[in-house]
Amino acid sequence: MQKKILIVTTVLFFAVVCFFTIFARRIKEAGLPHVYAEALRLRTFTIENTEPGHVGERFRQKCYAVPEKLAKKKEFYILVQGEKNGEEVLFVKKIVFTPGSMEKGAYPVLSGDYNGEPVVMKSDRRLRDGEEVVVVGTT
Amino acid sequence: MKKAIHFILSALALLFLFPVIETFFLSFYSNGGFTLKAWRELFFDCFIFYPMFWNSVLYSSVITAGSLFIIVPGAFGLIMVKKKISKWIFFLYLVLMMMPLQVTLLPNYIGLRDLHLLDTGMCIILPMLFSVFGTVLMHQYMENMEISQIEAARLETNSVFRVLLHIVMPQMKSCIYAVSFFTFIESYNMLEQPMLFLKNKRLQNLTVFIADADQYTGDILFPASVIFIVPVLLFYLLLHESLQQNVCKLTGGCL
Repeated sequence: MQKKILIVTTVLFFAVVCFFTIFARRIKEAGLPHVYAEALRLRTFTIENTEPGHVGERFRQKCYAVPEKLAKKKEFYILVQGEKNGEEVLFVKKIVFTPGSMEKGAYPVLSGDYNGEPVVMKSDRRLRDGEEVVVVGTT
Repeated sequence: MKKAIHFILSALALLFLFPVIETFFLSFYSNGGFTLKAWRELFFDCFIFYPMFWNSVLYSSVITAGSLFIIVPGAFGLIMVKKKISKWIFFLYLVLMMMPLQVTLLPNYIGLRDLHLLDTGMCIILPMLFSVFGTVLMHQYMENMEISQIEAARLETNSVFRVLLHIVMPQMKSCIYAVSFFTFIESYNMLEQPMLFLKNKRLQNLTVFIADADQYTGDILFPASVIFIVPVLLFYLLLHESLQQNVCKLTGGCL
């Protein structure tokens, strides 16, 4: 009887570890924000000069084009690759930027720490800075 | 007097068990209260743990099963060959057994490097298959074996394999269990070999994971240690009766 209990316990123990080995990643990913990300494209915008002495002057400049939805918030999240417990994972990093004037449905990014990384366009929940995410695809 | 001895021994037993009990409770303790945070971090945040756990189980199981195929015939050969050379070989075994692991690591490394086995599972399994301790233990046990039965069996068959299988092995049952257990423990706890022979983390075992626990985020050390203990504990509980019998026979006393 005692031996039977022991055998059942052993089988159960290995079955539980086996279950977690197969499903732990899926369970974890189900609890993470699922995002759609896309790198912003460079486009030529007409920028109004705001520097003293040149106010009102206009010039053409290549800037990253951000969609209207993100431009209104003046912030977006970019994807950053990092390492956690020996594995490569994706985190989000909040970028605060200054948008310019709208041109052909997009706003130019005039300032902000952005260098063409993939930007979170859509997320199934509210994101926090430094949070781990799962990329579902591109919009 | 007897009660006092019992009390002292029980206190000592508890003292030895204390680190295990403490590890178990600390795996559920964080920020001054009961929590499953450490377990969650281990299971859902540290996926390298799984291949390392299964490597530990796989290496130990293969080494335990494989070494028995070498230990039993080896010890049987040393017992049955009544020549001076077998005594010399046994003496060499004893000398090898006395050698610290660190002495044999470098020759093992060179041998495995020349065989192009470094950074493969075989570099852990292959050297451990030839367990000197197991052969010595089995040899000592076989010295008390009923030789008359073997001689009678030899009249029936010429096959050494059949004699080994049908006459020797049933007599050696408890010793085989003991050797399996000790080999399993030895291979399950090995740390230096995977650290030296394996660069790929996904091939290393759980001992290395626990030794490097500070590299990982979260309080994963305690739950990982608890899981690390479980297979050995279960293996011991499954074999403990046979193990006790064998130790009794070897020591001439009883636990």
